[in-house]
Amino acid sequence: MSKIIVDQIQKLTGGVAAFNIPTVDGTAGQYMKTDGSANLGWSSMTNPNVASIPGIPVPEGVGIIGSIMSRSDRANTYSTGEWTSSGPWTTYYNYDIGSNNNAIQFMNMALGDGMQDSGTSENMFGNDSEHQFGRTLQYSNGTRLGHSRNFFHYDNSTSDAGITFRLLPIRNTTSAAISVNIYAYVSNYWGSGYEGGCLAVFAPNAGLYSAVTAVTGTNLASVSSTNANQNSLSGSYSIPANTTVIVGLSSTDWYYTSYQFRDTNYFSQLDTTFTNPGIICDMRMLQTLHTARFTSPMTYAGGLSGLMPGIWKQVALQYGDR
Amino acid sequence: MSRITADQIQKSGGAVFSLPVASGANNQYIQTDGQGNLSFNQPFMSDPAVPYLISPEGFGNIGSTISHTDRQNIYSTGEWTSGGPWTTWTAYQSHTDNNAIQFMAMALGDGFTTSGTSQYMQGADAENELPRRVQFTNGNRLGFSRDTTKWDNVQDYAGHSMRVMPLRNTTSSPVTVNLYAYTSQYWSSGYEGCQLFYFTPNTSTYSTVTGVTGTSIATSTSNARQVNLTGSATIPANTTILVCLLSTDWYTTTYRYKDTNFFYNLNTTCTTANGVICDMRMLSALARGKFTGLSYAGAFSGLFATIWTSCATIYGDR
Repeated sequence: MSKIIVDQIQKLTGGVAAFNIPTVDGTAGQYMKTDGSANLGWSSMTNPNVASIPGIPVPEGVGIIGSIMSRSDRANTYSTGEWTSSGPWTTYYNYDIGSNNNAIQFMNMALGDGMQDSGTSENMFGNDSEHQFGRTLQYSNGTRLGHSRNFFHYDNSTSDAGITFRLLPIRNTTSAAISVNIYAYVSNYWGSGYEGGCLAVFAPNAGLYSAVTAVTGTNLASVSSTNANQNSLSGSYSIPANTTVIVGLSSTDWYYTSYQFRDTNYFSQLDTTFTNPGIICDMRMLQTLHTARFTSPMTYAGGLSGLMPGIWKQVALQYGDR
Repeated sequence: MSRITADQIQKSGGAVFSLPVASGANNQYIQTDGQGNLSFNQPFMSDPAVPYLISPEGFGNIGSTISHTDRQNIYSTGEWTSGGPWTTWTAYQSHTDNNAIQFMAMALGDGFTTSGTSQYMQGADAENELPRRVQFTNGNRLGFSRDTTKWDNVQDYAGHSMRVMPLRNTTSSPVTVNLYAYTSQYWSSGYEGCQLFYFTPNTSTYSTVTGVTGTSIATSTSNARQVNLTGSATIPANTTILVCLLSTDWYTTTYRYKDTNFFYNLNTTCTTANGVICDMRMLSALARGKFTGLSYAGAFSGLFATIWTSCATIYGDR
């Protein structure tokens, strides 16, 4: 391989400036710039003050933590619109969202109406109106993020009673992997064998958003046959350097008594999860999860690994790569 | 012309950089991957002239605002029948003068923009209350189909959902788009119904709009959980129109209703080829703006212009 070693480069014909080549490489995603005196260096094109990026409602790196949350009443809907074990695409197990087919359906329901390709009937999934949450954005005021709430299901179905989906994007801003502890509580009612709750992590194969080509799903903890209004789920995950992972949390409505159910779905001990100052909630990813339209990457075909990179790539498009 | 050919370049004693094989596109910049590999890439170029947008524009994102009223399905104070917030309101004709004003006032707020003397708010069952909420699609559909329980169990004037989606033609020629929607509907008093319709300004530049025209695309007075409403709208060059969808809650059985209100086939409506996008400046304005000019007086044409001029004030003219 040929290589030229010089301190400066200059255009031969009419070149006025002799450009000083950088001595060291920049970090991934940086661009070459000049200081106006022909000294070339590296710089990020994006403004480090994330608050100035259109569409980002809150600044990043000041301790704010948010998630998006969606819901389906599953079989607790009157007539058309309800569903049980057969999910939007194929059989769906709510206690195993880190696995291939479950992961795709979990993510599509968390990000939309659960039927991204809409099919031929154009039937939407039904929800009781008081439970209608489509990509709702929630922020934590302390060390917990989510809810535990009573509600009323007129259908009174104890099988496939209803589920809540939550997504929390966590970014490791340092140049070394960091292991974080994650804690959550979820409700669960085991009726048909397809319910349960799960805490899982979706991790990309590259740090740079635009370079992600595969995603791995990992279940950290799950609950299946245990019925309770609050089941503790926890685990740890090592987030690679300069990488954003998406933490998923699924829960099933707990049947309490006739018509009365409990929906618990929240992260706890966030002060522990985010104790390392290099770990932050990724606001670019959060806003993308809240507003973006993932038309092509999230079709119901193939494994999650090849489909989910579209989420990271969309962040790069909408809010800048890093 | 002299030329030195090499695979890599290095400042003496410094890092080694691998040169790009091919030229980038116009206005691309040299980027490093942090491993010394140089390539051309499109830098992230946010538009600093438009801060505070609800979502960046031009990436295929589509959103709408959605509001709901339970109309007569309210306990005691706060309910209303044919006599709307201002005057008689015929839901399935919401593109016409008095109906249009009341539709938009309810879609954007509480239905009483001038608040009246009693200060009573329009009522809604708590679980159905959707005051000017913003929804984004993840695919080709935007909206919902949801069960509601109404203790009042009234079939007349059962309730309505009102959706507004701003579409912008970014090209210099008119574009005709196809629109698809489903709504619930229950016909009882003669003042319900469902409708797909749109409002077009008389000029393209937000700040110069002085008049607005309402056009009905499809309407129905049949009873069904899902009524299919489709048709087309022609959007003038460089212009933003407001596509509106009105539905009536469908009575299913005692206490139980279905509220269906969504657009579908949005991949057909907004395509890369036709240059039609969701106008994020207008969506942000519809979601957050305070349109003081939308008072209950006169015809809607002049009143609605305030929506476009307010958009210019809040998010910049174009």
